[in-house]
Parts: sequence; structure tokens; C-alpha cells
Amino acid sequence: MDKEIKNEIDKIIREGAKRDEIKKFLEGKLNKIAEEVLKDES
Amino acid sequence: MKAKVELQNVGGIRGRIAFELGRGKVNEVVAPNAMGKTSFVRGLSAVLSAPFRDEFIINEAINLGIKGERGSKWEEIVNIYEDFAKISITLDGDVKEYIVHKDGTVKKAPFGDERFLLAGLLTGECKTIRQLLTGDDKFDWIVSKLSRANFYETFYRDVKEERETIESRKGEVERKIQEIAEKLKEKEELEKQRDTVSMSLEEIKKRLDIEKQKLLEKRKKLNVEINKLKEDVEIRKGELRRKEKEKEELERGIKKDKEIIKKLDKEIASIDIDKIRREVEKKRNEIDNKINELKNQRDEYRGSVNLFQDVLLEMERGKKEESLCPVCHKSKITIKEIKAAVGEYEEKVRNINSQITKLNIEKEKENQKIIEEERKKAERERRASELVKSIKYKESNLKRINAEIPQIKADISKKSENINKMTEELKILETKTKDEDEALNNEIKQLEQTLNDISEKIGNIKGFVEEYKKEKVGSVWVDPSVAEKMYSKWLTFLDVLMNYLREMIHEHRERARTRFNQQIKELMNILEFTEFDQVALTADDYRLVVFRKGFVNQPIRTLSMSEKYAIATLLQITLKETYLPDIPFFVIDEVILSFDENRKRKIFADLNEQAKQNNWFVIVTRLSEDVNKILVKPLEIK
Repeated sequence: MDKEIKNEIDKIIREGAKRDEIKKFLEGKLNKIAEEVLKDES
Repeated sequence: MKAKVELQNVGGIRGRIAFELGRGKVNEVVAPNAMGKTSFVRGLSAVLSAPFRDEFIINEAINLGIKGERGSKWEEIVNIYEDFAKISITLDGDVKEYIVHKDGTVKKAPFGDERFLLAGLLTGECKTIRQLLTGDDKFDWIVSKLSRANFYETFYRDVKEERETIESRKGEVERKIQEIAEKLKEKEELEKQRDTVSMSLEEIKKRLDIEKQKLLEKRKKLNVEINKLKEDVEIRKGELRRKEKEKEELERGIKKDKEIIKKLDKEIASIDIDKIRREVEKKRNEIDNKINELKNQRDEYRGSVNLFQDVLLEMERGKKEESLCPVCHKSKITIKEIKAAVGEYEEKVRNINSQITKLNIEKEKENQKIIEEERKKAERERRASELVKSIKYKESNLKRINAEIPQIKADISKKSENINKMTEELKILETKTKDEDEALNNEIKQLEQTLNDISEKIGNIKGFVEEYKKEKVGSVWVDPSVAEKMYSKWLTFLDVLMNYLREMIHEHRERARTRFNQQIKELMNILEFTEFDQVALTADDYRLVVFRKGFVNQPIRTLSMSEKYAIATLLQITLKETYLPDIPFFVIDEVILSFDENRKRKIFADLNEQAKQNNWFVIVTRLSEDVNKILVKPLEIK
């Protein structure tokens, strides 16, 4: 696991693991992967 | 510094009551039975912990009588006679309010800490006591729900949920890809079928065209022949009409000619040349006689002229004025008179000449009469002769026409018969053409229907594939294969993330366990719980173990009631101190009143110390029949 991602997770946990923040975090990561896949495909 | 607590329609409390709590000390809430002590505890717990999100905490809220049972139409914290309950805490000018309708609808909720229900209460109904009373030693919730592990668990659950969704979508996409492959195979088969049917259709259409062409040619040929025959018949009919007309005309001509001949014969017979000759001879004789008479008279007149002219000549020679009249020989006559007489006689001669000329013309005319009559007769005879010839000619033509007419009629009849035969043949041919066309057309129709069905199926597959070829991932539409790749990568990422979160959960649980065990050990020393050597959570499965002196692990269920309450007290104070030091409220009911005075004193002293140190509001409820309402006052610790 990337250190940067671990820090992001740690921040969310410290702020009380709010569902919205978790959702935003996941969306961000998954979108980034999606963009990479689309870039590879194009 | 004080906190103001107001409760309205909470549990047994109908209407509104308010209390003030002292900070940094233990507050005693004293009341007789059924005056609202429990409602106070529930109300305070609700306003400090709402809203409730975690299922475990929601269950706890139900167990504590703060929320109604699942599916219940009554929110238990609301007074049964009222529509809503309202609890508020005013602290340092900050107001926290919890308003809930009797049907469970939360109208207003503060941003409380739901863990307060697990670690902020030491009451007869709290989780720890309930569990100890039933002998259940599984206290994993302490490390999972109260520590940071709880947040990691929340994170883990959300990631797991997302992973399940993605896995399900990946499964769907894989099925879709499989389905598309099957559909494309099906489409390929259908296209082959379509090609075969198309070829058959083309062949039949070609066959139909050839057959149609053949039949059309036959029909055309027949039609041409029929039309030719009809034309011939018409020509022959025209010819017949002409012949018949000619026949009629000939017959009429012969009849007319015969009539004319008859008339001419009559006329010829009526012309009597000898009689005319006799009449003309007679007339000529009469004219000759008249001419002779006139000639005689003219001679006389010429003799008189000669006489007078001789007299005149003598007179002119003799230059005589008068002479004896040569005619009468009696009277005398003058030159002048002689000249007049000569003139007169010459005039008479001229008149007679004129008359003679006229009579000669008349005589010539009479001669002409004979010539004319002869000519007339000859003419009529010639005409009669010509007519006889003409009749003969016409009769010859008539004979020929009479012979020709039956031939023409026979020809017409024969040709008409042929026309009828050919028309019949044409009709049969047309029927045959129609029947054959119908049969082939039916076959074509069936094949076309099959072709349509196949095309429709292909179209459906195309539509299906077209629709299925798109998969919505986030806000973009991509090919299912791309989506599948994306989902796989997502799942890989989420698996790594979940592994990390699992590690963190474990780490934080262990950290919480170590911390908890350390805290409870310290507390036991402070409160002098000497009957136990150790009370702790086990590693990995987080069971509560109680070691008596000599390290005997005693099962929870075998502990006495007072021991269970003692351990519960240890646990709850430890939980509060360990996990909720920032929430300045701790609520205790009569649970600890069953302890001996020394223990009670030690506990209250510790709580008082904690309240002072941490600036907490420690609230202890106590039953007292000495008062008739709820009273809040600082606890006196002896």
C-alpha cells in the first residue's frame, strides 16, 4: 500500500471515519484507476 | 460552571423539567420511585449519543429504551401520551438538542458520540452488566467499537460493500461478455441461414421470372395470332360487305339498264322515219311553191324597175321632165316619181329575197328534222346496244361475286373459329399462369417471411449487442471488456486496501486491548479490588478473563452477583477513562449502591477525582422516599 494512500486513510480515521469521506476517497482512487485503464485502451 | 439539562415528554416525564449539573464534581440525582430517574438517564444518554448509525449501537439504544424495537410504531423514549420528546443540554453557551417524534422520526439531533451508550453509562441496563449477568465473556466490542479499530472497521465495511458491488458488476459484465459472444455466434448462424434462404429466394424468383417470361411469350404470340386473325376477319368482313354492296349495285344496275333498254326500245319504235320524210317532203314542196311564187313576184318587180330605169335613162338623155308611165301607160310621170318608184320596187325585191332566204332556211330545217330523227334513233339503238353489253358485263361480275361471297363467308367462319379456339387457349394459359404465379408467390412469401424473421432476429441481436456493448462505469460508457478490465483492477486495489485495513483493525484492537488491560489493572489497585488478581481481555478473541488469587481463571457465569457488579463497575469506569475522556459526562445509577460503604467511598472518591481532573459531570442517581420530586445536588463524599 502506497504511503500517501495510508496517510489519506489515517486522516479519514482520525476525523471519525465519516462515510462521505470514505466514499469520496474510494471514488477518487477508483476514478484514477479507471482513467489509467481508459488511457491504456485509447 | 454548570450544564443545564431540560427534558420534555421523556419516558415517564410528561411536560418539561430542567436541572442544572455541576461541573468537575459528582452530581447526585435523588428521587422517589417512578419520578423519572431512569427517564433522566435515558434522555441524557440520548442527547449525548444521537444520531445512531452503527447497527450495534442502534441495538444498544433499543436495549436501553432510547429507541423503539425495530418495526415498532412507538419510539420508547417518547412519553406515551405525547407526540414527541425533546432533550437539550446547554453547556458553555452551546446547546445540544435531540427532538424525536413518537413514530421514531428524528426531527433534530446533535452531533453526539454514539459510543457514549457503551462507555458513558454504568446502569442496570448497560451492555456490560447485561452481558456479565448472562455470563457472556465475549467482550470484543470493547476493542472493536470503542477504539479506532471501529473506524477502520467502518472503513473496511464500506470498502467491502464497494468490493461486493464491483464484484457483482464484474460478474454481470462477464456474463454480458459471455452473452455477447453467444449472441454473436447466434448472429453468425442466422446470417448463414439468411444467405441460404436469400439464395433460394433468388432462385425461385429467377424461376418465376423465366416461367412468367415463357408464358408471357406464349400469350403474346397467341395474342398476336388472334389479333392478326381478327384483323383478317375484319378485312374479309369488309370485303364481304363490299362484295354484297357491289352485288346489290350490279343487280340494281342490271335492273335499271333493262328498264332503260325497254324505254329505248319503245322510243326507237316510236320514231317513224318514212312518215317524217313524207311530212318533210310535203313541207318542202309547200316551201318551194312559196319560193317560186315569190321569185315570180320578184321578177315582176325587177321588170318594173328595169322599165322605170329605161324611162329614166331616156328622160335623162332626152332631158325630159315627164314621161308616160311605163306601167299604166296612161298618166305622166316625173323623174322624181320614177326614182321613187324604182326605190319602192327595189325594196320589194329585197323583201322577197329576204323571204326566200328564210324559206330556204326553213326548208333546210325540215331536212335537218329527218337527219335529227335518224340520229336520235341511231343514238337510242347504240345506247340500247351498249346497255345490253353492260348488262352482260354486269351479269358476268354478278356471277363472279355470287361465287366469291360464300368463299369469303366460309373463310370468315373458319378464322372466327380459330380465334375462338385461340382465345380459349389463351384463357387456359392465363389461368395456368395465375395458378403457377400464385404457387411460386406463396413460396416466395414464405421464404420472405422466414427471411424477415431471421433479419428481425439479427436486428434484435445487433440491438442487443449494441446496447450490451456499452457498460456504464462511473459517468462514462465503455466497452464491457474495458469495464471488466477496470473492475478487475479495482478489485485488486480494493483487496490490497482491505488487507491493509484488516491489519490496521487488528493492530488497533490489540493496542486497545493492551491499553484497556493496563487501565483496568491500575484501577483495580486504586479501588483496592483485591479479590481479583487480574481482570483482562484475552488476545485475538477478546474474551474477559478473571483471575483470582493463585491465577485461577474463573468463568464469568460462576461469579457472584456482587462480583459481577464489581467487575462491571471496573470495566465501565475503565472504558470511560480509556475511550471517552473527551465527553465530560458519566452516568451511574443505583448499581453501585449495593457495594459496601468502603468500596462505595473509594469509587466515589475516584470518580470525584476524575471529575475534578477532567472537568467532568459525573451523575449518580439514587432512590429516596425522603423527597417527593427529583432533586439534583452535589454528592457528599464522606
